[in-house]
Amino acid sequence: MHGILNKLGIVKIILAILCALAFIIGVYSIFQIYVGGTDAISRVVNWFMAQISEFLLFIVIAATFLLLKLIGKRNHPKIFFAIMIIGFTIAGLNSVPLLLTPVSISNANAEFSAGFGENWEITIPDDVKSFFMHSPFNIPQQFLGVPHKECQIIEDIAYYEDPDEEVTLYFDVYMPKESDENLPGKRSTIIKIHGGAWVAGDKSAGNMPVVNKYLAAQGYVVFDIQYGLRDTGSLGALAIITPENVVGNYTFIDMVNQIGIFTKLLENNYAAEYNANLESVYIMGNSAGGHLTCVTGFGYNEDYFNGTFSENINIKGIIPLYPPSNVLWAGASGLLPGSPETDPELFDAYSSTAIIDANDPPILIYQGMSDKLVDFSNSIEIKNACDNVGITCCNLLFPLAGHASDIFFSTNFGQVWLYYLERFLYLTK
Amino acid sequence: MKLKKEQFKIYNFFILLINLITVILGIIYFAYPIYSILWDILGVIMIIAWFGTFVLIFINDLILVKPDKIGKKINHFCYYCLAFYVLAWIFLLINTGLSSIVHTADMAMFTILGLITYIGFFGMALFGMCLAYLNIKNLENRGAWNLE
Repeated sequence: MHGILNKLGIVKIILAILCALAFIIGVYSIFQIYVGGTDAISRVVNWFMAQISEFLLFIVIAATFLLLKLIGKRNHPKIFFAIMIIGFTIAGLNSVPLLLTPVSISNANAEFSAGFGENWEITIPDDVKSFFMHSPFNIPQQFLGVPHKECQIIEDIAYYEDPDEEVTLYFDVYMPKESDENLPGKRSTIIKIHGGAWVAGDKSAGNMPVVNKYLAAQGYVVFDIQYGLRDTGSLGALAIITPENVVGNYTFIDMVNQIGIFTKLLENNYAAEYNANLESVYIMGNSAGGHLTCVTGFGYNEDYFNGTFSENINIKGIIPLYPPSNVLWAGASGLLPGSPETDPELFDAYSSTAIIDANDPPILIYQGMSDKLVDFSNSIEIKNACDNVGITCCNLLFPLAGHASDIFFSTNFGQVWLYYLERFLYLTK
Repeated sequence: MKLKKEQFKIYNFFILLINLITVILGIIYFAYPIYSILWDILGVIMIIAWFGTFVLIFINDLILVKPDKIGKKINHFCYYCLAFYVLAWIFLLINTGLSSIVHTADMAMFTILGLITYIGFFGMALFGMCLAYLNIKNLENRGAWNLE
């Protein structure tokens, strides 16, 4: 009997420790969401916290009730009420990113109204809308996830070789699976460029394959490409998501050239092979890929990049997610030769805000307002530069969202983003 | 002020019913993953079911006579229920995170993620239903409850 009581006591202690752990994680989450550290670990953790806070909300509530049961109101009334207040405060503060979803939706609606007119939504026919998300947010998707869409995928097609650096670059292509005549995409082409600070990352698992599949199922032909990364010696944890075949001594110039080579191969070979529509092409990328997306999309008609890209593809939209707006710092890291003082033209050419002009296509930006890696002022700068020359720019700002806060596809940020992304693609195609 | 037995019984029936509806709509959600108005209904109902079950556990804690044999049994079940809820949300979180980045051809991973989602989601509803059922079944045992 005494042994059983002891066992029960141990179980209760373990439960109490686990509950305390849940509280600590909840508090850490609040710190990351509302304040955010500047060290390397905090910057990475900041990516996820706002996305997982709604799960922490329920975990902390369950832990609070568990602790309340363990303590007992009659035995320790003061501690009981203290735990109740602390627990519900932690849970409440973790719920704010989710509760701010209507603000994100309202921001996005305002941007679309400014970009495409007040009645933009009714310009999309009902039969097209039937392929789209019906609302910018719904709860079951948030907690239960979204099934991957069916599409045809061909992986690891080599498109570029650099024997000096022992680098071979590949791409994957995602296509509609069945008859696609009625699908809204009409085989428009999307070139997707992954992120990773220009030194890490990969296509496929490193570039949200679930989104590629979603878009392919809507009739788009998505090319998910690798590009040459800059070798910085040790990548640490990022090595897990970075294949060796892409790392060399590359600069922005090489990266954009490689993307240019891909566009030429697209025109000459791949468009026919995969039945991709080059009259309607989108460039899309996140973080470092967002920067390369902007340089490619805005630089396409710049004299500076003459001969870099195919001249026979028609870019209909640029879709960067949390993109750096300028790279004036790039000389120090070796990503561009020289400095802005010695070669201003070069640094301007690789800075989005300097190459935006009135002939550029519409742009849709995703930006978390609590991004500790690429501050949201970057997207504001791009938006202002677009406004100055009169091109459509929808800058979707997400309160309390960190860097890469769209990475969990089915969470509130990912849902709202996808809702407006599919509509942007349709409105601009 | 003591809670009336009839009020408590009605609340238990409500929790039993709302968790049952969650299970039914959940099956439809997973079986036919094409949007319908049922998704929005499920969203509201599942939140009510989760919070409702929390409240039921809290009420149980206040009115159960724990030294009683039945009271002790139900009290232990409340612990299992809360511990499972924590585990279930960790499962749902893992699914949300990994399903976005899982490699396209990794069927084993898809299967595991599907499984932990079903266990987490339906498990929570089943625990809620079992707790409400246990309460209703043992409500006539006056020694187990501190009710009016």
